[in-house]
Amino acid sequence: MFAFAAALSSGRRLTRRVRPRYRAVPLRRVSTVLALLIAFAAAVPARAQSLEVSEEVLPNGLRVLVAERHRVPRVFCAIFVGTGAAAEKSGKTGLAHLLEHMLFKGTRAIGVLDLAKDAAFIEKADRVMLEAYRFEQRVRDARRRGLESEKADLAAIERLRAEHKTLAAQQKKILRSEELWTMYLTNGGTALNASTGQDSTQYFVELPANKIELYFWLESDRLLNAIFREYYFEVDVVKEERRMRTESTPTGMVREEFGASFWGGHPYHRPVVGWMADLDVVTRQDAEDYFRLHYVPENMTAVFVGDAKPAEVFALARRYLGRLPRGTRPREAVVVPGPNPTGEKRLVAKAAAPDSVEVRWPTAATGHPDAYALDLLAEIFSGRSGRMYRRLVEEKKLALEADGSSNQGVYGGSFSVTGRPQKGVAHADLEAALLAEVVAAAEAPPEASEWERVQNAMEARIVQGLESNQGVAFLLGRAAVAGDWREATRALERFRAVKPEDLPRVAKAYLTPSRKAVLHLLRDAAAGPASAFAEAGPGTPGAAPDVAKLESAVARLEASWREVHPAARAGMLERLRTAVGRLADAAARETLEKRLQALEARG
Amino acid sequence: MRTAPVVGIALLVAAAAAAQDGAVPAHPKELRYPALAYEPPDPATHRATLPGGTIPAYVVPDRELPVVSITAIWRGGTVCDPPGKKGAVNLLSRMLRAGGTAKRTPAEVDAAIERIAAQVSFSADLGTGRASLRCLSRHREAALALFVEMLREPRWDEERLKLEKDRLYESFKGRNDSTDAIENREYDWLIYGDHPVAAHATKPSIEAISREDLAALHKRLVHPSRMILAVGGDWEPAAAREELAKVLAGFPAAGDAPPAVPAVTAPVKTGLYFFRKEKVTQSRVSLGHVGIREDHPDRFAIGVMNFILGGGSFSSRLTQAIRVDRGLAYSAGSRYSPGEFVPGTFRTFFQSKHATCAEGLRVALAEIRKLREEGPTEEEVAQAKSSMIEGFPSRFPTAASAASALADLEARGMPADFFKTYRKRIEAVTVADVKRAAREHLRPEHFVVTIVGDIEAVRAAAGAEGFGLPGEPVELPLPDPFTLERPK
Repeated sequence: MFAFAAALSSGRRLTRRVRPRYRAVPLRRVSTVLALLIAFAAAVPARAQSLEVSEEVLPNGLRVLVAERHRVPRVFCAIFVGTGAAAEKSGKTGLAHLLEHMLFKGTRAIGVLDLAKDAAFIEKADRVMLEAYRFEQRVRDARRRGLESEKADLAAIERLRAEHKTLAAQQKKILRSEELWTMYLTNGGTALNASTGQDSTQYFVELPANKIELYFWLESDRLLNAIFREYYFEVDVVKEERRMRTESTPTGMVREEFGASFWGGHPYHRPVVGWMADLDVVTRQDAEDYFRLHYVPENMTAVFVGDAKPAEVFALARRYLGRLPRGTRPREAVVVPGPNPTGEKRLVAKAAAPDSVEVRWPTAATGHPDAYALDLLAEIFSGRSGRMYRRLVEEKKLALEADGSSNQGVYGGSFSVTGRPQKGVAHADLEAALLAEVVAAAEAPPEASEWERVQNAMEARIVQGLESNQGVAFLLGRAAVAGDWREATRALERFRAVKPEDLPRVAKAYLTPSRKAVLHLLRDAAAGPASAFAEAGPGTPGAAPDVAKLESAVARLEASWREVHPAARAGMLERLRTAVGRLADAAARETLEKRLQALEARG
Repeated sequence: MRTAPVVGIALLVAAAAAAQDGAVPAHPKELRYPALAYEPPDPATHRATLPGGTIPAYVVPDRELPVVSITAIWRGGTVCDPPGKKGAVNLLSRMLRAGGTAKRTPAEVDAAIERIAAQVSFSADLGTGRASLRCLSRHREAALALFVEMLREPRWDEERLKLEKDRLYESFKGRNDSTDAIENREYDWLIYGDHPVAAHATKPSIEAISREDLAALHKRLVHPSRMILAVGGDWEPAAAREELAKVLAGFPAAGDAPPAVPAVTAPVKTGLYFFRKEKVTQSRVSLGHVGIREDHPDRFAIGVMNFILGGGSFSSRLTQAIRVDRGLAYSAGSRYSPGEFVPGTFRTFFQSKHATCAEGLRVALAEIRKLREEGPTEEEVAQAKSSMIEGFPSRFPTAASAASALADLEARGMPADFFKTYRKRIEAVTVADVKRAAREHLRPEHFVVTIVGDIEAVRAAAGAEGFGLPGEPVELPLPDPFTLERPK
């Protein structure tokens, strides 16, 4: 399936040096208008069905986009910052996301009754907690070397953390916690939130059309005057978020591990929420530094979709967001390593989750011309009339579900084929069958009927993506941080420009054996209660090999040998050999071993 | 395309606005907003029966995008599962989508739908069933014909039935995989007992369902004479009604009317219940009791009350106390969802590392008691009301959502002026109303508390202060994922 940018968001501007601060910038008030859905002119001859987008770039470099639509008197408002987790440094993961949380904690004017006292509390809290962090580091150092923690260290941590709690309780009396949030809600804000991805961080709310100036007031205020108060409680909140989303879900840790291994030295290997060990040590000052460096107007796009007049929005943007000073320090480029050709990676993991197989390859980044062909290829594999379902679920009866997916981020993309085995089907067999489809796709272009289906699917998806104001805002914002918001208006023509023969070309270029990563997820039988109906699954540990099952596995491999991706053959042979070697029945073992030898000889 | 003239206007107005780039007020309190008029979608404007019949259709046109959505809603949801065949109505939904039609094999149906990128889905909740179609308007005719064919003459293909059943069994296998799935199921079970609203299919109940069962359910439930239609998007209302009347003609006669939804009679199981789940770093806590139906006269006061307690996210007391002030959880709050057909539940929830679950629970209980005893402040009530009133138009973001919101009201037997009067009724809620709602509708003496996770760690950290509730916690075993039988 195709996703504009599900897990991976966007952000190109890191690769560019910013201008020195005091350089005179000519006052530019250029407005451009472009229609989303421009390509529909041909499809819908009678009526112009389009949504127009107006652009103005403020003198400080901040880009403002407005898509006018008057069905409901509301406006979806968002600011996309072209920086996310990919810009973090080793040992400081989770900072981009933690910062996103901190920007809800108030400003010099919002959320506080006594600014001077507040500043004193923040300073004291930092002092106490950095001291606690120092003792906590001593405890970790001792643990790493297998030593008992010093009692004095533990006592110090307890004393300092208690002291911080007391300080926080005192500070509370001079705060109006969550005032920004309450102001938005009270004024009819909905969809209020923020999110952090690898490439970008976005802050958004939908407001009544008459309250748009409130948006400009509050957003420009927090970008100019943010105060990171109650920082250490927020770190705890983020740790709980990590426990909730990653550590305490059935597949969270496996997905994190597979992602880390898949991306290797690429910045995307780091989880956006951060490693727990890093969350223990990042400081308020780290968040401040990150904020000052990356949250600069030339790295931001404000997007407004709904009942708003571009001219009015631009005027407010100039008045409020025009106050943001350009950055003063160069933002370093995100370093992206080249493809890693050393060989396939393989993770076999157990979890309290359904058996599944995923094969993933690194592909092209957002904006690369091949991205569109890869998306179409994923669509060829997906859906009930897609190849994976027809061949693996219906014909071969190997899978309960199977499909393909293509994702792009600003710094890289990935392509996956995924399946869930039917009862009694080994992971290796499903993997081979998934790869056989990939090989077939690399050999011949899709049929005409498939081509019609996937082109229609893309068109429908693009149109439906424009239905909600939020959908339009994210489309524009993500394209903007990836380099050019106009690209969002060209999606359909880009898909139309792909030729059927481009699909085997990209399959051959990207989906190569040496670059793939394979995940076999095995249901962890020990994690769930025993059931009267539970049966030993294919991955049941320690289960004695079954002659009939092994015979059928060997037969399947013989039948599909030419279809199996050459890189997969060796691995499959080896796994079958291991299983066959454990057979108690000597005669059956010998016969099967001979058949495997014969297969190997076929090369 | 109106590109060029709009560029001109934008530049012109931009220049005019430049002159008045005024000062920024010191505080948003000083901002003044122009008046804003909004009226929610009106059933009187959008409702009409199909020509020559009695089928009501709400049609809300919007020509901006070349896309159209059609939904049919009917009375009779999972409450119609035959005895011993729990899951039959949901299997019916799956098979309407997957099982082919008299004229086409399942694979042919799939290919025909996906060739034109139409989205067809069928679903059911306790009291209603629904079928939806979404497609590009240029494919509308073909998509609608197919959609009606699927509704009218399903094939119940044997092989697909087996595959759908296998998929269900596979999903049952994962019933105890995640703490949130366990929590949702067990909390509702403690509140509702065996009532259909909280009942789940089992492997034996799915095995018992035959093609004939599905055909009988289909005859009984899926019939134009029982449908309410909602159409939104790129289709003129008169043309839409005419074409829908044409394609929906000629269904075979309908079966008996579906049964009414029974009342909830489960006894209150007050207490603290533990469910064990290993290999997690966080436990989940829920507490509350049975709630109200959506036609309850206090729903507006309760709505405001719950916003203040835990429904208003960061602007609510529970989120403040558990998350903001103490950093104990990422998500903490409460829901007091008015139920359709049966009372919903009141539920306070949070998730925390095992060591701080008991502390979080004590904080939550204290907040609930405080609101009951002291009531809300004037400011809290004003903020909650303002938020609910000002945010109200967000419920109808698109033509399709407006049409189906209206159709849903009628399907549930709610008054047609519900949306029209909603804001006035919220406005009328007073501080005294909220205080009374808190006292009558938050009942700590009836609380069911569930904690799912590492029981020993949670217990060990509770310490002398305990969980803030009378009585000893009880550990309940997880049910068998396939049969949902509970070990003694």
